[in-house]
Amino acid sequence: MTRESNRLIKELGRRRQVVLFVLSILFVALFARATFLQVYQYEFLSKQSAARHLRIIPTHAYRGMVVDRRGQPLAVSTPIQSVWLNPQKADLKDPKWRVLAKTLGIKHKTLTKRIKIHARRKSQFMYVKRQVRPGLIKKTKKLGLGGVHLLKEYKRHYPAGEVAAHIVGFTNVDDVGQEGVELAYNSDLSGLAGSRKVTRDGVGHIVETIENIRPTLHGKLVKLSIDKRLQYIAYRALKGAVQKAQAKSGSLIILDVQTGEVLAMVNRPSYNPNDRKQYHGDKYRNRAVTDIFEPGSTIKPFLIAAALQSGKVTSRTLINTHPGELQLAGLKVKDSKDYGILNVANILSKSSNVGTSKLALKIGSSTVWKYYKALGLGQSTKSGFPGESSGTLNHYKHWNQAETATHSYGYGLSMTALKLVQAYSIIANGGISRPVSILKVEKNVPGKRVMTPRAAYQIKRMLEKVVVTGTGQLASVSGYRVAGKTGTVRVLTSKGYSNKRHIALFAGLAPVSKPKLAIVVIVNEPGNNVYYGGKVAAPVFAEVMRDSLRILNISPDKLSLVQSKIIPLNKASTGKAVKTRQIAKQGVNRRL
Amino acid sequence: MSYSYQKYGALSQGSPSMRRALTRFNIDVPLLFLVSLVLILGLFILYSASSQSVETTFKQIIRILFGLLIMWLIALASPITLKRWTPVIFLFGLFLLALVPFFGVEVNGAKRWLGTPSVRFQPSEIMKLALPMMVAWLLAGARLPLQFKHLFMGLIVIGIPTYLIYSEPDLGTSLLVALSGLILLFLAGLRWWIIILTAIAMAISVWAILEYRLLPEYQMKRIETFLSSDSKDLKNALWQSRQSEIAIGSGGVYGKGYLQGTQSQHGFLPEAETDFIFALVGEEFGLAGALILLMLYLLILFRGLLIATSAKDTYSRLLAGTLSVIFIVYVCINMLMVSGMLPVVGLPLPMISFGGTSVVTILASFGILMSIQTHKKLI
Repeated sequence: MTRESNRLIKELGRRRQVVLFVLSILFVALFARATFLQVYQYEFLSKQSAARHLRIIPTHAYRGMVVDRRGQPLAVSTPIQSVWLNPQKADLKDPKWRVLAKTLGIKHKTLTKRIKIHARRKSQFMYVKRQVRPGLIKKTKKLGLGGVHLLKEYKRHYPAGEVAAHIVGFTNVDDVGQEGVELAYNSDLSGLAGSRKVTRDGVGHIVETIENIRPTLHGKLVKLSIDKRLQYIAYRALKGAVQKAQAKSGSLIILDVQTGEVLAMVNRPSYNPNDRKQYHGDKYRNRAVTDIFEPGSTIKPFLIAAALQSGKVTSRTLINTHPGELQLAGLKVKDSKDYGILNVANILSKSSNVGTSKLALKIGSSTVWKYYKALGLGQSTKSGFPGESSGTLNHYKHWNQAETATHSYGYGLSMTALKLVQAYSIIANGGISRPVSILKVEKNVPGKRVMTPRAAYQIKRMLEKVVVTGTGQLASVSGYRVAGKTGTVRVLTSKGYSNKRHIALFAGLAPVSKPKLAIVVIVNEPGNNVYYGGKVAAPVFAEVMRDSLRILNISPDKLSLVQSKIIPLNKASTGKAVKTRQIAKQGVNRRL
Repeated sequence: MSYSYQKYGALSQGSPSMRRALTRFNIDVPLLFLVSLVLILGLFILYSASSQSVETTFKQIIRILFGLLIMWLIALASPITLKRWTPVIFLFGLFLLALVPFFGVEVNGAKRWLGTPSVRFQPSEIMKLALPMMVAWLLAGARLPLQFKHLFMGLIVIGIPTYLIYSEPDLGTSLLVALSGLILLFLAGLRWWIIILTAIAMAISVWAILEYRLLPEYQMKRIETFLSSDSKDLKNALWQSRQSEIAIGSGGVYGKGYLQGTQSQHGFLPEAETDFIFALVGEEFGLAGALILLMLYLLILFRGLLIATSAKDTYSRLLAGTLSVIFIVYVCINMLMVSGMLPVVGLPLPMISFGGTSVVTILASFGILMSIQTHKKLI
């Protein structure tokens, strides 16, 4: 028994040694393997490890906001997700593709076709739909289709919608400005994407930032000169007028004459920039700066200013417009009726073409051209708006007698609405021309004198008479002294000037005693036989001017007392002008 | 039967009075010391592997405490009692295994559990202990060299639970359970030529099965799946191995530092809390840390083998030896798998990986070792 047991113990000991031997082989293998990995392959595997969790990723630069002068947002970037897929991993047999297509509002056939095309090209990336509503994103996630992923992007949102659409413009899906301020100030707004080194986990989430390689320069805020409130009332008024007149299109600009800032700029037809389906050229074109027109009668104040400044004419000079027409070589200038003998002021209030033609011929084409040129006609305002037209002003050398005459009442030259409003601001400013600005002006630019103060003053008074007793009576605003000029322009077609298609214009400023605003209203091709500027455009001017002055808290300058004195004032050219002007001035001063 | 026992504790550390006190409670102090060291290190490692989850770590502490309680209860029983109850335990284990196909809880297409989906256990875990116990019981009285009668009975005892576990299906566990039985057969004195012949026959049959696809297709697939990974596809398994190798290798000699591992902390390392936890050790503590851990495991092995050598009866000797060896085999298989030298099989690192059944089974086997060590028969 003991021998047996001893043998057993001995045998067990031997067997145990065998086991230990086998185990030690295993341990040696393990040790060798660990040394191989951790010493020999250390560097390679360290790099592999780094390659797995270290990433250099671009950091998105946030596109800057566009705000109005009071800080109200006009364009804001909001985060949104896009759906994309890896065409290599898409299993088209899955019936869920149909559901996905339906959810995202795409045709199943189209989607399948696109996936196939991308798959054939060995592409690893394809957008299914960009900028998808959060609700639909949830549904897409729930579907859990293989190869379908989400991507965070930014979508531009335009709170003011169609009201400020033309000024603000829009970006494309890649957040690059395409129109308006979005295009003009794209580099300021878009900033510069940076990059940083991060550690990443197995799922791809970023765990921590190790270092910023290049800092992100976020887009700057762009503060426009626009006042959203004025923009709204201007848009509402223009929309109503264009609709009522059954017109093709229309534009309206409000300019702060003291600073040169555009306070409002609206066009019809407009579009909703939040809806890409509405992006059509004829809708998103900012007509106020891209479209040129012949200014017609609205140019007359500047012709008269040229005449006054030339020294050959005074405000008292009488012009015989009888018999209401003037025969020149190849052109018959006509008035709507025979006004007889008119002084310079009345030429403006009656809007006599014969009168202005005679004045132009009297001072000569070179003088007319010189003064027009000084106003900046034929040049763009350099507002910086994309696609701004410069208009045309031919050199006087090319003018014959007839052309000299047409230039006096606004044919043969062209301009944009923005240029016209800037020209009127020169009158309002006492002859000082300031650059037009779409950005808020923090420091006033000194400006350049392009008209004598005396001429500017006289023209302003003549324009006031146009509103009080002349063609622009519908432009009057109660409580304020308004000056302005109507214009009814025949549209130039391929068969010459049309008898049926007109442009109704009104350009004016207020308050006359200390001008703050200049407004231009253009209604293109009114449809129902009422097409006079005084009938179609002037009421819009009055509505917008009235509301704007109130919103901006501009003190009224026409009180009942002053008003009674002003009426004789309009006979400025009849001799009592100086005296009555002084009375009026004192009256105004006392009142204000 | 009149046996008398002596409470005995050799090679223990700590103060003699303390040692005596613990020994009175049938605790083997050196083994407890080593096991506690590994368990405590394991908790720190698990805390890192679970991305510093206090909840996970706390759960594991509860399981460890439960395992220690089981260990102590087993240690209280004498090897004689264990031996007497061995057939009952084995048959009970077989009974539970037999219940699995009928009442088992199905998880991921395999019925391995009894109980409810939330509170469940694997009867195959009982077999990890019950099978070597049963084979030791069978061969305790056998003469050397082992007779065919004993070999035959041993193979039947090994074969039945192996088949039951295999058909759950759980090929990995069934092979490990069978291995524990075979190790015992070997330690019990299986003739060398039988071993060699069997090894050759097995090698040929494995080659034949793989080469000529002799098994039904679904089983072939199962084997191939086993060879690549436990239940995931081959690509996935390769990816796991790759990530694991990168984790270990990028640790270098001294490691990236506790809680600093990028592979394991950032979710690149698959199963970082469970099967692949050794990769975290390699990444955060480097070659040095991995070797220290391996050394601790080896010390446990040596203590177990010492207990086996000093055991006073054949049953205890065979059982203690087998349990020690199969323990270190688990460790080796896991480490070899994690370092990319074996295909990915679902096997946790003993005492460190997160999971209840594994740690309880291992601690129970240490309980048997302690029982053997502290109840020494005086002959």
